[in-house]
Amino acid sequence: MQFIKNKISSYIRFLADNQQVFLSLLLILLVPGILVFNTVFVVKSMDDNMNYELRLKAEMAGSIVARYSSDLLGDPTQLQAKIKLTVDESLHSSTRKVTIMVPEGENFQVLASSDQSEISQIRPQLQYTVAWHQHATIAQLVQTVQNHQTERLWQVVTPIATPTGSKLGLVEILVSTADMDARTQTVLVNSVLVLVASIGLVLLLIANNARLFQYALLFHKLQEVDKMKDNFISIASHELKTPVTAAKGFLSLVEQEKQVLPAEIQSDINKANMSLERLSDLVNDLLNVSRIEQKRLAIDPVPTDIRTVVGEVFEDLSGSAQKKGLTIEYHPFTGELPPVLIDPAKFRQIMVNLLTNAIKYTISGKVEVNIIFEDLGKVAVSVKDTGIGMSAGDMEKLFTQFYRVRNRKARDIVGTGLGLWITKQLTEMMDGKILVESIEDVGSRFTVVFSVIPTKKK
Amino acid sequence: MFNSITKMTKKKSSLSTLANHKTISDARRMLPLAELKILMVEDDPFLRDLYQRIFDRASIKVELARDGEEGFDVVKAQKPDLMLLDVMLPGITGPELLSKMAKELEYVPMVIMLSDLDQIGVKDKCINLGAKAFISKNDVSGPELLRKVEEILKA
Repeated sequence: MQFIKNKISSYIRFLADNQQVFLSLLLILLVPGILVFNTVFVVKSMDDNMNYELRLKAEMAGSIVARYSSDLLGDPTQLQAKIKLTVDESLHSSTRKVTIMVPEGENFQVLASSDQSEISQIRPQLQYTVAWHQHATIAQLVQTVQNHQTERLWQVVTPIATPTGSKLGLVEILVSTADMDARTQTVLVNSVLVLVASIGLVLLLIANNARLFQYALLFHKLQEVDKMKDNFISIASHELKTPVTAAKGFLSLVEQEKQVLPAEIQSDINKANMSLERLSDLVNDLLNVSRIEQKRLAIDPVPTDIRTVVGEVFEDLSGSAQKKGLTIEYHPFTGELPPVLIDPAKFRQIMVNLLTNAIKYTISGKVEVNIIFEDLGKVAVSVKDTGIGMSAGDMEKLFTQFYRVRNRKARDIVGTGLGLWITKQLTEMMDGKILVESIEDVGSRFTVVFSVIPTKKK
Repeated sequence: MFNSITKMTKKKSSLSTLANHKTISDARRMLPLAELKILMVEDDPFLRDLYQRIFDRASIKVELARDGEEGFDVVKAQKPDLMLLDVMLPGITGPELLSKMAKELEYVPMVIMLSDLDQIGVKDKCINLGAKAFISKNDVSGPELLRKVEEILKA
């Protein structure tokens, strides 16, 4: 018992917490509920209406018969003939019986009737008192059993009176509801079928929605977790920066004096420095990633001659290429080059990334930097190498976070896997595009394209 | 009414920059670093140690403050020529110290901010509050830092 209570209260708490779920459940119950209610209500109304119409018709018929009967009460034979004619030819097939009665003592006697066997029959006054004394048409539903079959009939009793108002007799019309009932039945059956189909459909939709619910809840959770991850990276990277800066700083102090140290110790210091550089790069990359993800990275675009930055980076890095035994060339565009709207610091980052990659992944041969301008509104910088290249599969995933080409040739090459992702983001943030072409074992070419600032022609 | 409006706007502008304050004179700016009074505000103890070593190596005297409050007190008491101010500080932050000095002091040193430049809006905010320039402390080694400071000072 306690267990059930706990279960119920936990469900209630869940609903209270997730108002969305509660409201949706409410809707799920309401929609089929409304459908059912509507169907029942409509069918009932229709039934009532048809009944009403039937009664009305019967009353009308009663009035008409009463009208012409008032003249013929003295001539029963003619009256009879007329009644027969009326029933056979004028009135609807649902009319079961038309009976004319006149008062006979306390009761009424049948004067004429569509059922000839009933002529001269005495009818107890009880059934007709109200109509007689009220001098009004009374209608009521009665049930008769005939041949084991129950039939519902409208019994409409209309008084026959002289134009002056003295009561002469009564007209009783019996109209069967059988026909009407049959029609109603058909409609009811159809409605119920449609109702069941609709509810079935709604239930299917609900079942589908239930899954969607789960997805929605899951999605919400995922968003939260994603934000947490971004916050974590941001905080962690910041915290990491300080000790890395301190370590680098002290090591650089040592570097300045290292000539007095034995070669072995110098070498150890160099290695420590290199590791620190890698760590520093990773922390910087992580910080950049987190800033880019959280849209907190500032871009200050200014009109820049692209050659200035490319030239600088080339100068800075050509040393390391030559140390590796590679040829490194720079072919700037020699004509007039319009400026581009870029953030020079971020563009420098892009160039450093592309050029270091080219040098890193080339064992021997050449690294070439080209600036291409064909006066079509765009300027391109390409970094081409004769390195290990990559497969089509690698190229597809190349710009994703932490992706690194992993094969025997790239075995010894270190990196964070974040550089190209950052490069792509930075490029696109400055409205540029980055393209890669590569053939395994032949080399790769990375191209960044930017639009030049259109010069207003005077 | 016009007078009171212009008075109000004038007051605002004097609070938002250090431009109207007394600061290091042009003559003193041209002196070598070793002859200037330098204050550095840095909260991390290891980095403070490092900067002390860097300045020692170059035979330059430097005063070190541990946070914004201390920095403010030193500026008030000793009126240094140059201040190297970290953006991220516990308690009162770098930018907050800038505006506090602008509001409460007559004399304000030339301020160079030390930070990562990439946070949206920080650079502009600090320049508006009176900082002269930015140096990214993580990317420069000891001698480079001093060289950059000289550059900015003499500019």
